[in-house]
Amino acid sequence: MKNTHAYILAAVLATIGIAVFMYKWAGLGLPLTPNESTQTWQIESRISFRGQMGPIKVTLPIPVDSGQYAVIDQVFVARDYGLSTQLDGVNRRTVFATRDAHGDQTLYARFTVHKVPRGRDFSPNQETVEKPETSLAGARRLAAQALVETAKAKSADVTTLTLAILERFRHAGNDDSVDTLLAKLSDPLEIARAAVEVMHLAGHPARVVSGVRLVPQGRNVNFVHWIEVNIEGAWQPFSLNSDAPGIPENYFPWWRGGAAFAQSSMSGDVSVATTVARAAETTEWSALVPANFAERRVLDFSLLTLPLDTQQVYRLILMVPLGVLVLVVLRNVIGIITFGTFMPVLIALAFRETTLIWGIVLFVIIVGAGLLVRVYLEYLKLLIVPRLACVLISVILLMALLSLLTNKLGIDRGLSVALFPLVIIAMTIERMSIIWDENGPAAAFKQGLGSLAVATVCYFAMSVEYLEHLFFFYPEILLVLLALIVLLGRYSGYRLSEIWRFRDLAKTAG
Amino acid sequence: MLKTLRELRRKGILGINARNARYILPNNARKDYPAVDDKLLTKQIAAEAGLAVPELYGVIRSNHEIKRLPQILEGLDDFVIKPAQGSGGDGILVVASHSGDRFRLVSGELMTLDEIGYHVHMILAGIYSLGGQPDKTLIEYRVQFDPLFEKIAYQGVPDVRIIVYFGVPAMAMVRLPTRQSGGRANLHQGAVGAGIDIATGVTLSAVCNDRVVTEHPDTGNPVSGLQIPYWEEMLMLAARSQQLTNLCYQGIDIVLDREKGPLILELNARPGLAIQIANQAGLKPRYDIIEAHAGTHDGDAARVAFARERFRADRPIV
Repeated sequence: MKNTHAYILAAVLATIGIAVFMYKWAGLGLPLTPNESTQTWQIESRISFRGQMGPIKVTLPIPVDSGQYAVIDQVFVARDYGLSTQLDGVNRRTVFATRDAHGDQTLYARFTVHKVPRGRDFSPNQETVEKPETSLAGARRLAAQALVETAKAKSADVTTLTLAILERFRHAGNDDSVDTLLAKLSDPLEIARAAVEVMHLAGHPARVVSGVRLVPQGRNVNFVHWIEVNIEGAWQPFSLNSDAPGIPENYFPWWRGGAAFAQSSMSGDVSVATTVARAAETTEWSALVPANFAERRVLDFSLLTLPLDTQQVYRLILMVPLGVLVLVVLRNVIGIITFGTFMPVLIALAFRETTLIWGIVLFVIIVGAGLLVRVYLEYLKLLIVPRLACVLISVILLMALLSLLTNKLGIDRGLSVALFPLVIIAMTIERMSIIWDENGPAAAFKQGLGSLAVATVCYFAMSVEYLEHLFFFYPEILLVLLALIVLLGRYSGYRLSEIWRFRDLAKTAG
Repeated sequence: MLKTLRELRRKGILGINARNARYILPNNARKDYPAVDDKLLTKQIAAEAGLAVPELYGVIRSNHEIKRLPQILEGLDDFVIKPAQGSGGDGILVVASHSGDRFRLVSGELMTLDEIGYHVHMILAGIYSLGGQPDKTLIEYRVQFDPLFEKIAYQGVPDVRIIVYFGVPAMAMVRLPTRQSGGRANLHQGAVGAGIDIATGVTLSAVCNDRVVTEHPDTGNPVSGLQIPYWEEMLMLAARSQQLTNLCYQGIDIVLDREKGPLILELNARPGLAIQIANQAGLKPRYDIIEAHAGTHDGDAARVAFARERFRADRPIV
C-alpha cells in the first residue's frame, strides 16, 4: 500500500519534470549544452546606498562601442527614479534622479556586450585633441620632470617613451621620483592618473580608461584601469602592467577620464557591486522569438530573468540536490557512515571554491588542529555549550591564521579556507571527538574518512559544468531527482556494506 | 559478491533498509517511541504492569540537583549511573565500591565525587542522548549477575536480547561484555552475542565484530551449549512487552540477577541486526511466519508456546 503510493508520487513528479523539460527543449528549442562559441557578456552593476531625505541624483557611465566590443543592449532598473542621459567630456553618463529617496536604495544597470569578430582601429571618439595641461605642482612636478628626462633619454618615439615611463611606475618603491609622485599610493586608478599627468607634462595628450575584465564568470569584480595616449591623432592603449603597448583582449573599456564610477549628489557612501558573466546562452535565449503569449510566459518564468548575481547563486544552489542524491545513494545503498546528515554536501560546496586537493588539505588541517583544541578542553571539563563555542572560536582563529600564513607564502588558494562552513566544522570536531572517546580512534577515523570520501564524490558530481547548465536552464529536472529520492526512500534491499557484514552468514549451510 | 547476495537473500537475512522500511516504519508509531527511548518512562511503565526492573535510587533532572548526589548515594556501596535517553550503552558508569569520596568503577578506575558530578552534567546536557537533546540521569541498582556467566563475561553485566514481533519472541541472544567493549554489552562496541535457541533456551554459536565465533575472546571459554535459566519467564516478559509500549517491533533487554531473577533493563525500538549472525539464521522467514499467524494467538502464553514450537534450532524454520 505504502509502496504503491510512493511509486505513484514518483511517477507523477517524474512525468511533470520530463514533460516540462521536453516542452522547453523540443517545443521552444532551448539549448541542451552550454554554447561557448558566441562571445557575448553581460555586465551588471548594482549600486546601493542609503538615501537621505530630499532629492538625489546618481550618475553612472554608459559604455560605448569600442572597436573590439559592441554594446548591444542596456537596461536600467530603478523604481521611482527618473532616467536621463548627460554628456560629461568624452563619456555619456546616465542620470538617475528622484525627488525623495529615503531608506535603502538599489539601482541596477545591465549591459550586454558582444565581441566584434575582427577588431577595428581604436579611436572611438573623433574629438579634437588640445595641447595638454598638467596639474602637477611643487615637488611632484619636479619629480615628474626628472622622470620624463630620464625616460626621454631611453626612448625614440612616443610609444617607447610611454613604455619607459610605465616601466618606472611598475618599479615604484626603489625609485625616488616615482615615490614622490605617487606618495605611496597603490590604488591602480591613482597610478593611472599619475601616469597621465606625467604624459601631459611630457607634452603628449593622454587619459585614464577604466573598465572590467570580461571573464567567464565573476562576482564583485574590480574595475581595471589603464591609459590611452594620443599618438598622431589616434588613441593608443597602454596597460599599466605590461612592457608592450596594447591591453589584454578581454579588457572592456567602460569610461574615460579617471572619474569615479558612480557619482552622487549626496554625501554618504555609494557601494557598487559589478558582476560579469559570459552570456552566450542569453543571446540565444533572447534570439528566440516566442510565437505566442503562452510561450513568452514560459520564458518570462525562467531563472534567466533574475539579476545576474542572483543567477550565479542559483547556478550553485541548483547543484545541491544532485549532491544530496549522491549522498542518499552512498549512505543508503552503499552504506558509508558519515558525520551529520548533510555535512558532506556542504563540505563539497566549499570544495568547489577551494578546488579538491586544497579543500581536503585545508579540511584535514583544520579538523586535526580543532581536535587537539578539543582534547585540551576535555581536560578543563567545560560545560557543553561553552565548550562548543570555544571549539567554534578556535576554528575561526585557525582559519584566519591559515589564511595569513598561506598569503605570506604566496599560496592564494589558502585564502579560500574562509569558505568552509564554520559551524559544520565545529560540530564535526565535537562529534568526532565524542566518537573517539566512546568507540576509539579507529571508529572516528573511519567516519571522518567516510565523510571526506562522500564529500569528494559529491564534489565531482556537483562540478560537472554540463549538468550545471542543464539544471539552470531546466530546473524542472529537480522534480525527476525528487522522484528518484522518493523511490530510494522505499528501497529495502541490502546495502553494499551489508554484503561484507553478513559474509559469514552466506558461508554456512542452512 | 553476487553469490553472497543471492545466498543472503535465500536465507532471509534482513538488511537495515528492509528492517526500517518493511518492519519499523509501518509498525511502530512515532508517538510510542518515548516509552522505549526514555529509560525512566520504560521503568515506570514496566513497574506499573507489575514487571520486575532494577530498583531506581534517584533521578537528577537539572544541574542544580547535582548537589543532591551525595544524599542519593548515601549508604549505597555499588550502583549504576546512566543517561535516561542514552543509546548504545554510552555514558554509563558502573560503580563497584566506594569509600568516602572515592568511587571505584568496575573497570578499576577511581573517580572523585566531583568527577561523577561532571559526568552527570554531561549526561544532562545531552551528549549521550539521541539527537543531543537535554536528558535526565538515572541512578539505579547494580545487577549482581548470575555466576553462570562468570566464565564468559568480562567485567560488565551480560543481558539477554529478545526481538519481539507482534508479541511473538522471534530471535534471541545473550550479550557478553568483552575487554574491547569496555564491559558494555553492546555488539557494535565489540561485545560477544551468543544466539539462543528459542525452543530450549540453550546457547548456540556467537558473533563478535560481525564474525562468527565459538568462544569468548578474553576468557577463551566456549559460549555454546549453555542453558539460560528462567528461559520460560524471559520469553513471557518478551511476549508481554508489546502491551507495555504498543510497539509491534522491538527488542527487549533482560538481565539475570543472582537473587531477583530476570529484570527488564530496557526496550529498544531499533534492535540491531547482528543477532542474525549470532544465530546464523535470517529474521525474515520468522517474521513471515509470525505475520501469517498474526491475531490467531490467545494471550502471552499462547504466543510463547507458538514461538517455542516453530523457532527450533534443530529444525529448519518453515
